[in-house]
Amino acid sequence: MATPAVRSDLLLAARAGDGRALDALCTQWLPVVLRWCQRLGGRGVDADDAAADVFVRVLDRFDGIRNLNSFDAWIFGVTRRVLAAHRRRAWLRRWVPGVVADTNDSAAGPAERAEMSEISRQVQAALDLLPEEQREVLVLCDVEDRTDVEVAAMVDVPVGTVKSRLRLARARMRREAERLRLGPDQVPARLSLVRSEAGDGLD
Amino acid sequence: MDWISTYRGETEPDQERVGRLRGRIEERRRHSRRGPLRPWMAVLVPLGMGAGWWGFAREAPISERSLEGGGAPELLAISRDVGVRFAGKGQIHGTEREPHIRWEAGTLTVEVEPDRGVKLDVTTREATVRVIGTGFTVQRDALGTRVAVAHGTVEVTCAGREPNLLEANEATLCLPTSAAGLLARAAALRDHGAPIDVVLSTVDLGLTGQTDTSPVRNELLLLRMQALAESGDPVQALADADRYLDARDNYRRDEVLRFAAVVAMDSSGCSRAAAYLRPLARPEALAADLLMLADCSDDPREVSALLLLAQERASTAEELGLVAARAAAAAGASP
Repeated sequence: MATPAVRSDLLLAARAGDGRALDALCTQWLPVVLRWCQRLGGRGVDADDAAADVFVRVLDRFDGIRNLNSFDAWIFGVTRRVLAAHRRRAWLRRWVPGVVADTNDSAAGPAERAEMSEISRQVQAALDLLPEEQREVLVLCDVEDRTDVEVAAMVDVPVGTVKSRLRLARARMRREAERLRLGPDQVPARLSLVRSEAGDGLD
Repeated sequence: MDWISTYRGETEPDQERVGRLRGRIEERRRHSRRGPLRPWMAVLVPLGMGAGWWGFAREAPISERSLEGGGAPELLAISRDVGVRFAGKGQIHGTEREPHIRWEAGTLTVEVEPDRGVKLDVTTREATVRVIGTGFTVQRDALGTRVAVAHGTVEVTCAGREPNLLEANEATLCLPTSAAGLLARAAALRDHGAPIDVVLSTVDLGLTGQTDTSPVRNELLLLRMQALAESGDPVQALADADRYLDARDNYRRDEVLRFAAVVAMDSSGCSRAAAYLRPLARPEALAADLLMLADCSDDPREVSALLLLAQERASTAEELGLVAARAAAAAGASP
């Protein structure tokens, strides 16, 4: 489970402006947000820039959070909005005359990309091809091992919707894996389930 | 290790990266705390005004204009949210929030910024593509309208069909539905060397519901006749020729008579070709007509007269050569 357990006393202290509590929250959540930005950002988005923007907003608006029980959904919502803004900027960069097109294929920066293996680069490229809503549930469920109930709360949709998006995303991911020749023997157990699901007309 | 595990491990940020990022965040927050005014207050009013202007501007009409470019693709930013690349012909109108593009021919690539509420549609004769936040290409030529999605999702409605959702890396082809469109598609298919049954099925689809007086129907019959003759079915080809010749407004009558005469001579000889040759025997006959008439005549004097006339009408060296060869053969055959 990738999400740290958030203690309510820590959240209360942070909301009251306790510097140490805010610091602790940052330690716990910055890696999580950075992962989201890298995995969900998409083409042309700089994950570090986006994660920094998320945390500046989170820390500035923390006193405005109403429901401390759904902190992970709240911070995920902030991340989504920031990523949407970064995607818009990345999109605009491609259309403004005279501006060199962004050559990044994914949200991973050059250094991070250099450290990624070919397999991870291909997985990221395949993820970037998924519609945003499908990419979210695939990353949260299959990469980060959250349950569909948790993910439903985070993305604010019914559990059934998460399941259907996940089914579509897995089928699509499997097709991309075949196209990118990641090899059927390398398809993880959870994704290989799609093989049996593919018979219900998803392909 | 499976590839998701590999990916998971390799996208896990290390401590150094996280530490670096924390430093950046702290630095930005320190800057944001400076000054008596909180920065968001200084920004809020202009932003509010900007948002008001933005809302107004997005409803602003786009002046109707042509999109025309034949060579290298041209780039046009229609608004802050919509950009197009095009090589072909079309028109654009509507508002910045709801632009409408009528695409006639060529390739059009559209990028719509996601999540901005832009409702753009591209219409061709065969298809309507509606989109909210995506990138896609519309290519229209004689074969139909091909829609390919680069990213996002679009709704494609081929004429007379139900809407169909296309996602990234998917494509669809909307076939022409009008008789004229199907005629163009069939001709293009034939030019591209498509199998004869594909060409014929397209022609037959075009012929459905066409009246005998329709010029498109006649052109479809001509195409069908040519395709059938090329595929080695002279009987059906001649049947189509007869249907064409029976129709009114058969302004390519002489061409069809000539073509049918050749097909008939090749398949059944002069007895079958005579029906098509007879109408061609007139003062303004071409050298080619006169040569065929000579080929099918048993009367040496008539042959001689026809060849003499053919020699006068011959307009190319090739025709002159053919007439001379036929005359030599006739001279050798005469007693």
